[in-house]
Amino acid sequence: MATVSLRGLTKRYGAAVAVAGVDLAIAESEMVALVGPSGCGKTTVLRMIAGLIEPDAGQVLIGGADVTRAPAHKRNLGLVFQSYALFPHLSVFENVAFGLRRRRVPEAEIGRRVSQALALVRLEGFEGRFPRQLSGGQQQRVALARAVVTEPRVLLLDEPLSNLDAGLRDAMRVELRRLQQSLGITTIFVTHDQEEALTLADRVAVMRAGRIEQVGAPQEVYERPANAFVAGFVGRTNLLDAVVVGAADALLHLSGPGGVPLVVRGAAPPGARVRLALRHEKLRLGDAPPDAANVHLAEVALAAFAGAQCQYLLRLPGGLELQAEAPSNAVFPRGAQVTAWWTADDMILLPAETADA
Amino acid sequence: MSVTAAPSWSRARQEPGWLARVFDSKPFLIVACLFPAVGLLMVFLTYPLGLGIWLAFTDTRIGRSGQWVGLENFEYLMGDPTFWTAVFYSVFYTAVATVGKFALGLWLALLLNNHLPFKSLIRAIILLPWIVPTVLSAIAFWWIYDPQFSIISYVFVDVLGLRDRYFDFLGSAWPARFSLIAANIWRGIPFVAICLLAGLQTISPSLYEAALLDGATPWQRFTRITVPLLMPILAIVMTFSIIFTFTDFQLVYAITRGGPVNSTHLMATLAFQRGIAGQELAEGAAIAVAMIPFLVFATLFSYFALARRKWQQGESND
Repeated sequence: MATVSLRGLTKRYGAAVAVAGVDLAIAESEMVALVGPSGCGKTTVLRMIAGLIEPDAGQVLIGGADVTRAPAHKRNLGLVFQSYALFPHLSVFENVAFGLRRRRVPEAEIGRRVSQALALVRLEGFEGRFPRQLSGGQQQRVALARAVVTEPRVLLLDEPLSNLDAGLRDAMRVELRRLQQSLGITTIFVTHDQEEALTLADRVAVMRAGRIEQVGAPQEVYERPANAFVAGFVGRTNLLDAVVVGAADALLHLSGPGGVPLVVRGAAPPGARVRLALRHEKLRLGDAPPDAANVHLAEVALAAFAGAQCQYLLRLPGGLELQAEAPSNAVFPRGAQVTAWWTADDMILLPAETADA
Repeated sequence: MSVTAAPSWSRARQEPGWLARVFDSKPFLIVACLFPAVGLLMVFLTYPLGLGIWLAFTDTRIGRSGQWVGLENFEYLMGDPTFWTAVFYSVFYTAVATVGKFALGLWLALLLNNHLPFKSLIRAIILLPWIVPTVLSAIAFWWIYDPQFSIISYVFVDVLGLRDRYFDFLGSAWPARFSLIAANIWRGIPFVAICLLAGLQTISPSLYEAALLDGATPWQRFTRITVPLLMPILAIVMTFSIIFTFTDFQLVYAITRGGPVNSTHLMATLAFQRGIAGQELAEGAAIAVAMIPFLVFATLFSYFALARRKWQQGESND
């Protein structure tokens, strides 16, 4: 097992910059998610770590050693491809054994290690099958077994769950976490699904346009997003533009869209334009407790039942529209007048956006 | 519920007309639907083939209908050295040209599978030899192999001065045989290269990356991934190529007409020579019929030896 660190990693395709100076340090046995919308460069970063793409600038260090120019097979990594990339003409056993054979491991040991790897992913008895005869989840596990059988220092996963249907994805998520923890292997995985990143990773790196916007524990990224992009990408969020009207007792009084008065904890000079994030589930409906700093009467413009939760689109008097998510024990029909409330701590004051907004 | 009292509510069914009954009857529909296809096959495929086979067992000449003579034509051919030369050269021509076409075609396909500038233009140019009518390219090769005006001889003798005598491409047996094979390879490469390129492009690049991560050398990647995954399409292309080459006629007939001294006759050209030019229709037919076993064998070989692999089949678990 080893640490991985990326220093100023950059990749350009012609004039387009795919990855613009990514710095990231990954500790031993840590599981880190690179998450971002498609085209943000997360897969390019992963492929540069794997050695399939050569970076234009920057360094990749594995276990403290600079491997930026080392060929892929000298890096001792395991990679699970998004498409699994199983060899269709080889049996499950031969697929898993492929890397061992290339490393000239003795036949008896190959047998032992392949059975061990297949046991790890719970695929004993499937040795003779061909990939075509396996389901998506089984193929995925063969790909995992093939990646870990060579006892790599680092495991890389490219969109590991995106080709699976919803039920299987949840099962594989647990499986993946169990496997990673039992092997204690440093793992980096790429996903576009923020929920997957939050549930699976020790730390999450949110990427946009070739840059890392924020790195942190899932809770930290969720509770304290570094900027509007992270707030919008991770979790479901209402983003509000507001102007500071005044401050008192570490609370800011602001005027939101449509002149809606808002109260948030934080500090900013009067007259400053700020951005606020309000998570859907923090916006609550029904009778407001006395400490609720923000209480508004709203009309339910849309209501959608989603099992345990109900999703609402609320329209405030000033015309401001907010999305909310509430437990479905009380369902408000469309057109109903409800009281929407949240505390000064529920809303996040985002740092001033630098260049783009 | 009582059954006895149940009144019959169904209206007396109207008896359908004879036309409706005919169109409802299954035997009629089977005949009517199959007739066009069967008719076309009978007229354009089965009849000529059957006639050819029948002719082979008669003594028909052009302008004279023949009598059934049994295997007499074949018995005659068994003792005919020219026929055996043609059989030998057909097999030799097919074998050498197929090996040449596949070696060069695969090489070209691998080259074209890389990222090259002007890729689509190059691919279009590659197809040219195949698009040009065979007779046209045959005449071009005839000119290239001409004893007096050959461009190759001109380059070697007059430009480079490497030789002092012109090449004798078509004047004697073995040079003529190899010259024809070279022309056939030139014509056949595009078909093989484009088909194999299509096959190569179905192989996912991530398979090569997976092998690369495991330290497979370029040669191992070729032998462990490219070759086995290309096998199914290779088998089909090879079957076609063998059939086309074995039954080749135009190139040989346009360049050498079977000469010198019948040394470059293929079975097809010999059949034409005997049957049409020599008016012995029955003997020509017998030679053509003698090609059938070779073609059946070649097809079965490609089909069983190369085609279906276990890994291609779905579901079954054995």
